[in-house]
Amino acid sequence: MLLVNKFKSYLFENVNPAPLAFFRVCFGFMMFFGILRFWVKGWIETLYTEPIFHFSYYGFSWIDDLGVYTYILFIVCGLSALLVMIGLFYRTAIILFFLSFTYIELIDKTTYLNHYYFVSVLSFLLCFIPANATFSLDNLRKKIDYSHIPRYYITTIQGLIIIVYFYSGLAKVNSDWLIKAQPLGIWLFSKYDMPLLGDYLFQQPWIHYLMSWGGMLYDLTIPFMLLNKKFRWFAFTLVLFFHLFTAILFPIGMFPYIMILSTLIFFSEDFHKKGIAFFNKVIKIIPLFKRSENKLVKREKIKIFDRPIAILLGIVILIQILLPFRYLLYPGELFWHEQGYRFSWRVMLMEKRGYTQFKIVDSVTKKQFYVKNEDFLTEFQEKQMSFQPDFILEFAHHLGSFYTNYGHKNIQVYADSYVALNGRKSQQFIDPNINLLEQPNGFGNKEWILPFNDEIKGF
Amino acid sequence: MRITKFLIFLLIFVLACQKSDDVLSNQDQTNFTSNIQTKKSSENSYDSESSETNSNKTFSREEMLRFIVNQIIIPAYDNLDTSLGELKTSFNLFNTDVTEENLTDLRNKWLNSYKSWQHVEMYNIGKAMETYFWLKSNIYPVDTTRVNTNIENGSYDLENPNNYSAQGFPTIEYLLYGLGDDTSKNLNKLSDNIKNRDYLGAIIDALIDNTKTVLSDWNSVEDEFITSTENSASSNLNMMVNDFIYYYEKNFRTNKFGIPGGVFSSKELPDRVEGYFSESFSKELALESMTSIKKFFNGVSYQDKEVKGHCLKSYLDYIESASNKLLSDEINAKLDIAENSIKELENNFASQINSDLTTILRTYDDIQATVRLLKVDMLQVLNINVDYVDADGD
Repeated sequence: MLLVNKFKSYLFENVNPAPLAFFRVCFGFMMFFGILRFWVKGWIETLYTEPIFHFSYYGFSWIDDLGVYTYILFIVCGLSALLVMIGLFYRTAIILFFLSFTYIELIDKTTYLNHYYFVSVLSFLLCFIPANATFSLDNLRKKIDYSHIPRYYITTIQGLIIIVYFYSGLAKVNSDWLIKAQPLGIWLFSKYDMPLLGDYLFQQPWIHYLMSWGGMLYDLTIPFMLLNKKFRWFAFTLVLFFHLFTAILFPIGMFPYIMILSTLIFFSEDFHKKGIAFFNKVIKIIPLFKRSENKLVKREKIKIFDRPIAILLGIVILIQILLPFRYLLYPGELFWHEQGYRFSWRVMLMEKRGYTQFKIVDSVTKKQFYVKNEDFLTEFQEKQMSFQPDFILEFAHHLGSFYTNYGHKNIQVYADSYVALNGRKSQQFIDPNINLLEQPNGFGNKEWILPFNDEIKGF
Repeated sequence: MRITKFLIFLLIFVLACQKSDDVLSNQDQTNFTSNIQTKKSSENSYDSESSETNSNKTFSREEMLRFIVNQIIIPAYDNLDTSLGELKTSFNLFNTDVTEENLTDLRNKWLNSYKSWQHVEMYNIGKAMETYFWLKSNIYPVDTTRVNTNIENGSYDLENPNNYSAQGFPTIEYLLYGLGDDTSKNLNKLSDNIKNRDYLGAIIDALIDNTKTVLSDWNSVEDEFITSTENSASSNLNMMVNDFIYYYEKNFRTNKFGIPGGVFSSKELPDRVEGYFSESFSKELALESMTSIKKFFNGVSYQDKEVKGHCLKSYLDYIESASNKLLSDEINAKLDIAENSIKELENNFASQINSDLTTILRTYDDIQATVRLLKVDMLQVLNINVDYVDADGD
């Protein structure tokens, strides 16, 4: 009980809001930049407006791209990120950001990435966190600058980051990753064209093992090293090295930079005060902001403790702790059937490829033909569909209703599907004798996935 | 201080480990280097030297491209160019002396060059891709309405995409076989109407020009071409591998068997076979295509089947050196099954489809069995993307 009480008083202790402010600025900046990058690369078109069919998350099939208005969605998302950064109309801005960003992510699950999910969860949490307490334009607007906030707002963000690292480390504790050094073996081997490292070092099995084990240990320990004052700088050096290294190696976009800036939330008040002082110096260059600070009314130790919100934040964190374990509810190999794979911080664990074709059969005349996937899907969608059962089922249902509308009768849809995982030979994936139209979408166990011919031990 | 210590430790560790690993894969290499004889290697000492030093440690992807370009692609194009030259000579003779005998010779020369074509269609890369060489050379079914309109008008633009299916080998075939119901009627059409012969001459010339353009480009770019071996969307190595798979899946499986057999439609479409008008060469052409597929995969020289070199098979075997069951063996076994399956078909696929559809569908399945091995297993081992999606991963 003593420990619990100690933890409680730790959480509710009044601390300086500088870490939140610093985090808010970084987050807003990264998000704005991320949206801009997405736009410039033309992904709004290739991923959202051009595909004629979208793979939906179960229960969210009502969400669709907005045609040309999709751009407005991105504008809202980008501008609200900017507002978050400068802390103007923060609460409205972060809610708008959360809604628009999450809406974009829900349009098509083909584009699912763990770090997009991270952004969604984080921005949801930020809706309830007063990250504009200090160093924000809202301070000028409301003439209030908070000098203290309860610590749990900061702890919540730290908690989410701890979960992300720890669970992605835990997921690496499996026989493929540690005993076979897969999929890193395949991936590093194919980086033979990388300057200095590629043609020799990456070809060596021991380096595949070193990086597999190193990655696992890094993910499992880094959040705790960051928590500890003694190890913090060392840990952050590792963070920098690890994320920049993966940024060079793999096409993972903004993720490394988001994580690098996010881990700064573990640093001390003083660090963030210095950070903000630095921001202030930069801002002072702009004459408009020179005199503004004098107008503020400083108020000490304002209690903004709000029980429902504290409970809500706790619940979100609790859900995050439990959700990754939902895979235990399904029989069979998680990497194979992927039921409970997403939303669990399972990152870079699989080299998985598939080849899936669909056969449309008239159950009465027994006439049949194969579908050309490319008539319906983009290459990216086809690639993702080929090895993920929920995609395969959803697409089969789509084909069923498409050909029924087209005038075909008594339709059955069968999948001819082969998948290879982490260097293994390909194996038949979906029971070819199952009419997928009779199988329901949803969270029920997909019994029509053929069992995996091998075993992967571990989490 | 702690960080410095850690970094020093890491450095020592890396250096210590580097020494013990040189033995790996030496024995694999010696097998190939002795076999490879490239016509450029003597002229270009720098290249061969650098690749030799490389090959002590890793597979030389450059040697692989060099072999494919020098020993397969360029000789195959040379041969196509020669056989088209013969086709043209035969046409000139026929044009001045329209006899059945000369028509027969012209048909033979057409078949001969069409078979040569089967060895280059796969390489839809570089100049060939730029100039839509494949589309201009072998789109079937022929758009006969378009052909007849072109003949009637006497003026047409063969660069116009609408005319892709009104030129090339299938259109030549149409003019040699498809204008009349039998040989004498066809001969009459050609002798009576000089416009028919003009068009025939024009599309033969176009084919020759197109071939020469691509061939001369290959001769000029080959040294530069083979250096592009990185693992990226734009590298020649990856594009070549993707072209091979695309060819196998689309041009070979789908076009020659799948579409006419009705695999993608609610009923069979026998008029979509390759060699539709001559009614006897679909099988011969398909087997020729299979030969080119096997040669590419197994690194067999176009001209001399005893000359072998780096290829997908040796690349796969190099990576899978620790495996007791080689993927390349599995692929070759499946290709053999497919080839035998094709051999059992009738010469004319259209009549095969009409008389016994299930046999050709079985052949389709036999061919299909290799598709997943290429697209899933092989690309996994090589870690090459089948489609280059511009998006982030995680």
